[in-house]
Amino acid sequence: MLVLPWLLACAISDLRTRTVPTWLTVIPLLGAVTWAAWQGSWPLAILVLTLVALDDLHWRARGFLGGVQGLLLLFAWQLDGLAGLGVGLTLMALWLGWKLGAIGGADAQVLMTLTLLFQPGVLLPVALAGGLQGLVQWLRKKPTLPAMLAILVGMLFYLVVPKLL
Amino acid sequence: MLFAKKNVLRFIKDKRALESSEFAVMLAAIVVVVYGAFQLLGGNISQVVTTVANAI
Repeated sequence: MLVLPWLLACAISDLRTRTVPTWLTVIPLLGAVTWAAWQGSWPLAILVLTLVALDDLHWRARGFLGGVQGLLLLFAWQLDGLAGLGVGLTLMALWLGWKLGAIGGADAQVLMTLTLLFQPGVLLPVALAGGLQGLVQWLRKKPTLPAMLAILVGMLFYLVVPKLL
Repeated sequence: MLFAKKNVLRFIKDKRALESSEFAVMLAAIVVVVYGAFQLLGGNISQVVTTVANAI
């Protein structure tokens, strides 16, 4: 439940300025990475750190790091089974979404944090809320949307609705 | 030379919180299809992966 006030702050900032301050996204991401490492999922924690650095590296170092990431995925699979592999692949897909320009950096950081804390299943209600919001924006002929709102609504469904049922 | 750019940690410094509307709709469709496939075939996929892992 602690994530909801944090996501609310992110959504307010997004609606006002279309940006989210770095400290509001990076500190929780670092917290989630530390928590994952503490829980024994150290390959996933290192994977996030490699993804953060990947874009800045020289292409040779990038190739090497890509190989390391493959090994980290294997370790994650060995340690946590298919769930670990799923989290690792989801983290990489989110980074790729940022790299391709489909999602903003703040969105990617927040979604990575939620994936580390709650497993990829959390992305289902978030994606559905985002899809609905995207459809509305599409009909309004707006090419972009403030995604933090969809993330907040999705998380609200993920955390609150099961308690009401 | 390890770093290709002077401006490092671009991912961390990117404050943008905008998503493409088309991507949001596409992503929702993909997530629903993948989730549905796992719900239908999850047991079988897990069994195949375990068989392959054991063979290796």
